[in-house]
Amino acid sequence: MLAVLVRKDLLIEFRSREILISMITFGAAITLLYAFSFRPSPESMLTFAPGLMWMVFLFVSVLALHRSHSLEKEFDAFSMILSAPVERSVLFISKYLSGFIFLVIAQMVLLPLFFLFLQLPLPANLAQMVAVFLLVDLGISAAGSLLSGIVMRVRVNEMLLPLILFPMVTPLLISAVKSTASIMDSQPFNQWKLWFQLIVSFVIVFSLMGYLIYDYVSEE
Amino acid sequence: MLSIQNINKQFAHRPVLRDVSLEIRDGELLGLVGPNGSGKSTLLRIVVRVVSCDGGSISWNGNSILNAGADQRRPLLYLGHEPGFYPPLSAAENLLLIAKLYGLEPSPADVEKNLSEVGLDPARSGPIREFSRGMLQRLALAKTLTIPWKLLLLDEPTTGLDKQGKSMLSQLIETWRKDDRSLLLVSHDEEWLSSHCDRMVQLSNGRIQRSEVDGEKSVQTELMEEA
Repeated sequence: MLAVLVRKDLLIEFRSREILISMITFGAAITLLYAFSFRPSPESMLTFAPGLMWMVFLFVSVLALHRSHSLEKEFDAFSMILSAPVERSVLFISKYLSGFIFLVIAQMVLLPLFFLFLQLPLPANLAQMVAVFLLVDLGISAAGSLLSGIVMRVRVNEMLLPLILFPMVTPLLISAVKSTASIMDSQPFNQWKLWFQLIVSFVIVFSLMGYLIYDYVSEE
Repeated sequence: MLSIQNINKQFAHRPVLRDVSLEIRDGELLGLVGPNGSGKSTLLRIVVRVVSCDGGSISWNGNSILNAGADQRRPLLYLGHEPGFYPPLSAAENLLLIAKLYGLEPSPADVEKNLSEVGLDPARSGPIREFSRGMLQRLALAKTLTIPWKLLLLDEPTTGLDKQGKSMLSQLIETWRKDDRSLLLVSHDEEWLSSHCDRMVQLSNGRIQRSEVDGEKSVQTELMEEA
């Protein structure tokens, strides 16, 4: 069932191309804006870049989360899914995974642009960078899918989602920025282990929370 | 048999359903009428767990629906007031997806046959976003031919249907009656409902006000009126 639901989200996106195009366009526009606004030394750029980078990905992820749930609302397909014999926890995981996939695809396009336009050196330890990015993406998708499920029936949900999501993912983003900065500065893992552990904890807590409570929050 | 016992529901402290109890026997066609805001659609949505309730119980053949896993909803099929499809997908893709959600694997030929039966062109591959209200309603009816349901919950099924569509729906209802399947129909069109249903129940202000069997008032209604 999980495969059917994730495939459905991907097929809808393949047909409409609404989510990825808006994510990439918006992300590229902000990256260009950063590139032309800041002209600091390469050293200070390394300090700013991780924060700017994650700010872009946070905004971009909100676009994906909002659009993915508003498509469910358009012809009330969400009610059809809720009334079908589908476990709500599986429904949460499908939204979580498809949100993660969209974010990873958008980052695959936006990250090279970010490094190119802001003239950043590639980190020495790419594997660590990829691991941190994937984990933070999982965290954003978990918290975002859960909150989108809660606010999607509210009339002003497009305003409410970022209002609740941003404060909630702040610990995750601080950890992401600190970890990314440490990797770009080639610091040993021991020095930023705590931030990495915070990211892992966030992912576990929100994934479990969504899995357990989506059954209750998805009903009107 | 579907048994609804003492269902209560409030939206923002406003009671929408108050102690609603109903039973739908196997093979029975029950019509639910009432003015706007009387709680008809909410009751249907509670039965299939799209909306939560504040109290009461619902069971299908003795098994609770409200506190059980998703499998308990398998015999039920809900066609809401809204179409319940994905606009970017085609009619056939939507039907295939819904079938898969019910654990079925219909062949493309089966899907095409069901689309043809409700008067939709199976070769049409464009997104259903371009469909008219009537075409969406016909597609919803194709869902009833694809899923092997035992109780169908229909909310305003005649909305947007032309004369031909209404007659097709009437024929389908008669087929379901012969197959001994149960239906819970909600409509504003009391005349249309009474021509198809075995029993009619009226909801008003979230309470059951009237229950009639083939035009005769039930004992329950007479007691209510005396009270």
